[in-house]
Amino acid sequence: MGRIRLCAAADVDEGQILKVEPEGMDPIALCHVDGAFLAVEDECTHAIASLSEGRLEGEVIFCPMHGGSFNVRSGKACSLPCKFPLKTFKVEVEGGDVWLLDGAA
Amino acid sequence: MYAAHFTFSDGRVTSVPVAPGQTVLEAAMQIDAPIRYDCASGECGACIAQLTSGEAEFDAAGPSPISAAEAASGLRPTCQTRLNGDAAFDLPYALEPQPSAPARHSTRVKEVERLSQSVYRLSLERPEGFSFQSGQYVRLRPPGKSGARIYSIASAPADDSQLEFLIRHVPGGLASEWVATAAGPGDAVKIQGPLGAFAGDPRANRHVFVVGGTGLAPALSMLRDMAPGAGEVVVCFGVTSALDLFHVAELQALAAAHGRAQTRFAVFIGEPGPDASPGTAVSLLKADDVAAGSAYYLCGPPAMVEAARTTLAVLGAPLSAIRAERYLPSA
Repeated sequence: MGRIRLCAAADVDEGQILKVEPEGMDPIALCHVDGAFLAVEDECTHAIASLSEGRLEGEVIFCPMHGGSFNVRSGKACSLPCKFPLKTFKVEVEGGDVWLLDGAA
Repeated sequence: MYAAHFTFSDGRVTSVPVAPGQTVLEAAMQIDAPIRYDCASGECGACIAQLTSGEAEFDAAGPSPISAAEAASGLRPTCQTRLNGDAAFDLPYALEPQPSAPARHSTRVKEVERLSQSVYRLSLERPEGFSFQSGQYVRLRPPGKSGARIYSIASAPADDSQLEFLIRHVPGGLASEWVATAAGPGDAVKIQGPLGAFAGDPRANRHVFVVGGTGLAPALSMLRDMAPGAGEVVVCFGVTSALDLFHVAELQALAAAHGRAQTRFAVFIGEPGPDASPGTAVSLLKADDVAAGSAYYLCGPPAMVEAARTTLAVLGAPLSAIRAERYLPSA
């Protein structure tokens, strides 16, 4: 299916999260960390909550509902009540845009 | 390494090794022990257990789902409890039949029905592989929303045709506004569950329910699940006004099926109407409702739960026989 354009790189400031909803896919939380773009599934694996409504500290995203956290580079759960990892996605920046590459990384 | 020994309400037991410094819940989660939890951060109360012996340090510094009196009586949120030695706990629910592991399910609306001025009945298709015990709740996400709200299941565990909920309309509420104004058969929703530790006590021979508004839901599930002759049943059901009253005939029929049962209804504001008396669910309690072998189930807004607890304590009910599910209204 090739790659999908998520947004312009300028749409996500350093340290910020953007919720992107590519057609036919579950929402993605796109995080801008240290100049890199890291993409994970937006829905927390613990309860029903949108991680892009939470906060980002370095590579760690905190869920707005119960405060559990994940590393957005590895997807690994970092603190309770989160236990199961997030799906991560490969992205690349080209021509000032952020692109989602095929499938889960 | 210490050991936490758990006894379920059906007499079954399980043990969890707990490292010094670790919370009891962290240790239980590590080995996937069948100890229920939801927030794991001292808010929801789903992981509460009754300490019966041993040394357990309670982390009371932060927010806690239990009152000081409950803490003094040995109630412990296991997510805020660390051990200094082996300890034993009682859990308020039965191990068997085990509910399905909490998971997210996609399902659809079957039916929406307005029951009163303020309350709707929402019936969902029951997802494949979803099983629960009476008293449990789910987190429900309406179509097109990123957030969710929690609702107790009102249908019986054996009813595989549906999952039923009682939903109070909070104007502008994330889920209840959708239920009241937009929801219809076939709508796709997501639920997470089953969750929560509120449960019937199989050891009791009398079951006294003090419920307010949609707090009736878990009581309904328990009553529908109870075998006729499982014991005496008393239901004290309070609502705000006569226009908020619902399920009167349904409750009377359920109670009649149990033989020794009483249903009482209270209306707080205005004319109570033919079925109810003026007052609250708590004011419906009578001195002889408190007797040995009883379990007391309190379900409703926090103020009602606390008032019921105080009244029951004055009437002589032991704290350990009282179970509570607090309903926090949320927009």
